[in-house]
Amino acid sequence: MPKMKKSVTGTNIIWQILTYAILLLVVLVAVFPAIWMLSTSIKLPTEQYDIPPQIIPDTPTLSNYVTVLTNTKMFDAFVNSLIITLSVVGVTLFISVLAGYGLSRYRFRGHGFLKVGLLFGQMIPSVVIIIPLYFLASKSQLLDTHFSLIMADMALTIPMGVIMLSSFFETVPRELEEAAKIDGCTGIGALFRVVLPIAKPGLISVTIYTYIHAWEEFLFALNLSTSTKTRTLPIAIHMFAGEFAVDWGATMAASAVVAFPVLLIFLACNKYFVKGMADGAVKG
Amino acid sequence: MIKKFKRSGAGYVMPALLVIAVVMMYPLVYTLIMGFFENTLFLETPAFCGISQFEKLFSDKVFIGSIKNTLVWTFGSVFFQFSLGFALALLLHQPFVKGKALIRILLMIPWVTPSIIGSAVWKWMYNADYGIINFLFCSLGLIEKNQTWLSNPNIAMWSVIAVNTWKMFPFILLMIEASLQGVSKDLKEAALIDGANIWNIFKNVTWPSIAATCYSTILLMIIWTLNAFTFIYAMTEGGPAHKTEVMAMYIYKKAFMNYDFGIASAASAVLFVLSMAVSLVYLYLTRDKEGN
Repeated sequence: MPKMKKSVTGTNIIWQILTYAILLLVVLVAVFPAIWMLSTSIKLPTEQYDIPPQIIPDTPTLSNYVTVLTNTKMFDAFVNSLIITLSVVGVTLFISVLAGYGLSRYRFRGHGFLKVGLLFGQMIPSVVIIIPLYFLASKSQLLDTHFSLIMADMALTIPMGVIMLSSFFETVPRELEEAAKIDGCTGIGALFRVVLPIAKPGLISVTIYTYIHAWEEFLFALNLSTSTKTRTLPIAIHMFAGEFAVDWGATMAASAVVAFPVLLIFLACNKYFVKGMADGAVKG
Repeated sequence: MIKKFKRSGAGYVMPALLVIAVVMMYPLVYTLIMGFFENTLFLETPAFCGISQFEKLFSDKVFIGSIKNTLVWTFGSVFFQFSLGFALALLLHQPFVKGKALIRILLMIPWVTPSIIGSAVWKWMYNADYGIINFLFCSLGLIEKNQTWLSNPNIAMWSVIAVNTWKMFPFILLMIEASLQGVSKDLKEAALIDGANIWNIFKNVTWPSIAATCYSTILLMIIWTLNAFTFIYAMTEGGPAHKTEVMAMYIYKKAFMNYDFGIASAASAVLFVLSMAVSLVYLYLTRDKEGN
């Protein structure tokens, strides 16, 4: 029996080495752009164009980061991105918790329709809705406001948030809330006091998903934001890269500044996230 | 009446419904209708023009080209993303592989890196004179002289597809690896005792239990890639010579660079129909699994 098991798991040593070699190569390709970004960001202009290129420069410098962090436009964009992302995460969580709970616990008219609608919603091309959103915002004097950007982002985050949470709530036993209701809790009270604490992993995965999408959203911000008043980091960095066209060190430092918060949050919570994504995206 | 509404639980979904109505349903319906109205900066109010804009669209070589580009971009990207993700999921799933958690985290880095940042870094790596890719490929003897990866009409599309593959294959890998964990070990062992070889086990035990995930992942990727915009906008803006101009890019240019919102809406309607066709297949497949 142990011998037979060997053949199915392929414990053959050459195969093992090959497997590790391929995995190593792929991991390298996956992380190399991030390494190269960091590497270029600590190079002086004189070293950026060295052939052969070096991963760690002879004279590492933080001057590129100083350029980025003292650039007021970048700083304003950082604040805008923070305001918008945090608002989108907060509102999406609140709305998705309510809707996810409603969908998983009640059967009302239009229940199935709403579920299908949410799935469709995930698939509507952003470029299809940006034109009317632009008109809507400009007619209602909301162009270039944080509010319009927050609303638009929710077109991307609400469907996924509701789908992920409703499938998560399905796994939470109803008996708990029923006990709470007998003890005098209202429906909403039971949701917030009993169900939510158990649903922490689901909430975390929705938070990360929403955070990543709102933080990197590009198309809506490109059109709904018309000045530095609401300009977000992705737009700012695109413009910054244009302005500093030849200074790759500064562009890479700016990129690192934008990528860092996302990577940090992802690394901190990745174990909830992967599962939540698998449940939400594929099982629907 | 109010009590009945309350008991039905519909109140819980009202805020979500409101948001969906304002930022998704209204814009969608508006776009579909506006495909039939002429609407440029020079007109005070949009004027009904029947299907004339669709006729114009389909006689525009750039638009026809953008449909072709969209197909190359979508199927090219998804083909590479899926083959890579699938093969690696099988490799990573093998019991002897150590450090799976770390490998998974490292592989997810491209996926969580904002697209606009990915574009900036790859643009630098693709740089014709000082890019690391030219240097590496030349040193390895893969190319003879430096290439202009993003401005050569013959390879620009494939360069952008490579970036899109880099970003999305980790997602597929994780989905498939997660579903591989649901494959019954008992069945595998039983098949082995009955003398089945690895291929037979894969075909008869593994594949049937991961097939549904594979199909729905592929369809999801097709839909996402059809709609993707950032990489192309940030790396090539649809150039050189419209060679990477996918439909999303075409619509964007018509609307926000030429201010011809009518034509842009008509083109949006075409893109929407395309993605809906794929979405319907997706819904059909996921529906069977849940049984509702």
